Amino acid sequence: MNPTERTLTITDALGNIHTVRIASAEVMEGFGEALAAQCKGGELIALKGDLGAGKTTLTKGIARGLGIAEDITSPTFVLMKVYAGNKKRGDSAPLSLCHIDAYRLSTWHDLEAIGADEYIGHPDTVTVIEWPEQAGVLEHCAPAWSIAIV
Amino acid sequence: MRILAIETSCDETAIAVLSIEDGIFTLEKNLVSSQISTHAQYGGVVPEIAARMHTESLPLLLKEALDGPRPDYCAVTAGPGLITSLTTGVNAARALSYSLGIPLVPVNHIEGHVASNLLEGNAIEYPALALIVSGGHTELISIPEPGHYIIIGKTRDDAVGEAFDKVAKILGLPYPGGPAVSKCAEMGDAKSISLPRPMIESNDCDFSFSGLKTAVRYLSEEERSRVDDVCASFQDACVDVLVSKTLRALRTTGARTLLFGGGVTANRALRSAFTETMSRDFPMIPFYFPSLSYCTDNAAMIAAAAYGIITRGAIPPASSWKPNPQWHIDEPLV
Repeated sequence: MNPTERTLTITDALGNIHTVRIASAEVMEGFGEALAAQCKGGELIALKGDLGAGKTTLTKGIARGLGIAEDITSPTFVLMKVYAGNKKRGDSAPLSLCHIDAYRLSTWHDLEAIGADEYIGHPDTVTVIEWPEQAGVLEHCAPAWSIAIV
Repeated sequence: MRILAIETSCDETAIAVLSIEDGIFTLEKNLVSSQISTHAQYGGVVPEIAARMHTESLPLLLKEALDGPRPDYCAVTAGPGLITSLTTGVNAARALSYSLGIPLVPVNHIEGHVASNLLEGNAIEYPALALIVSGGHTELISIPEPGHYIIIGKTRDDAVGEAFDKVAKILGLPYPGGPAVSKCAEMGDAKSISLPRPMIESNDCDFSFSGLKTAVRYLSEEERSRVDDVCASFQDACVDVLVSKTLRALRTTGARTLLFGGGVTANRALRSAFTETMSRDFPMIPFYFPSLSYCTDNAAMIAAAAYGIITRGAIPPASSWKPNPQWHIDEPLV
């Protein structure tokens, strides 16, 4: 990230708002890792921010926190990527990561068409959705955390 | 042997008929119905609309493609791509295979891009190396023998074509971004704006283009207003990294042929940089760029890849697979 400083405004499911300052891409990944540590499965994390804000960097950290070793690559082209949970992590239920880019979607029906509704809210999955405002996501489900990056 | 191939992994509906006689390819039909102008108004491919347009175009193209001798095989792209688009093509191919009583051959889209090099009779010596670069993919693939693929380098974030699209968006240029950026780049000075070469020094063949997009976004207002210079400098950074990593892969794999594929290989700056570097550093290694019509998505390349699968006796049972939007070329289809 460049310049590296970001401000995250985090709204949790109860409507509490926190602000976090992030100094570098490494710290952003570390924050994602800490967020993942709080996940029990079924969480939806909504990420808002312009191109280049660091949404993918944050998602890489969340994946690392879930013990997923695979590279997290941009879901822009295929819209949704699913990464299997790491069974070696020793948890009773490893959590998979579903990473969605809703930028080109316009309705909730579009998310159903790509099969995203099978992952969102599923107890074995943590779902990260970029551009949640595009596909009526917020009308259909309540994110565990809604994060705006500026 | 005659192969009818269907390709609908993204926004082009394509059908081709390829006949092969004594190993010689004759492309009898090569039909493409592009959706680019429709999706341009949305700034990118809209999955629901793409699937609907495939459904509308397929019967028309199939009618034209089937106006001739009966094919012996039906090939179809089964991944990677947009799930809604892939499913439309696979359903049509399954129906056709069943009604004509001919085998169905699922093909990996990336294997298709590699095989686009076979369509023009290029002599490929193995081990070979392929650089596949497009809106959705950036991969260096080692090919020790026909049909055996090992991904030795890939992007860790955005595909290079995607970076072009996103930079175009940041600069306010039209969709699709690749052609728009390279057109502006022709009038700009590639050395005038300093941009990073992400991962160029890393000790592997992986790529990263996300940070380059971010660097463009955070240029000063004055610099960003010189759109032609930004485009030229950005394109130069992308090409530098692609050339450098490909040369590293050539050295580590000992490849005897270099192949290119995917929409970004239509880029003129990329072609001339590789031509210059290869003739200077690797004059003994032949390298092939597909013709422009085979760089972008087409069904002829899917038919060419299917021919390899058929001759290797590697057609999976029709009941064993379904379209897979994340199908990696080095994994079996399930």
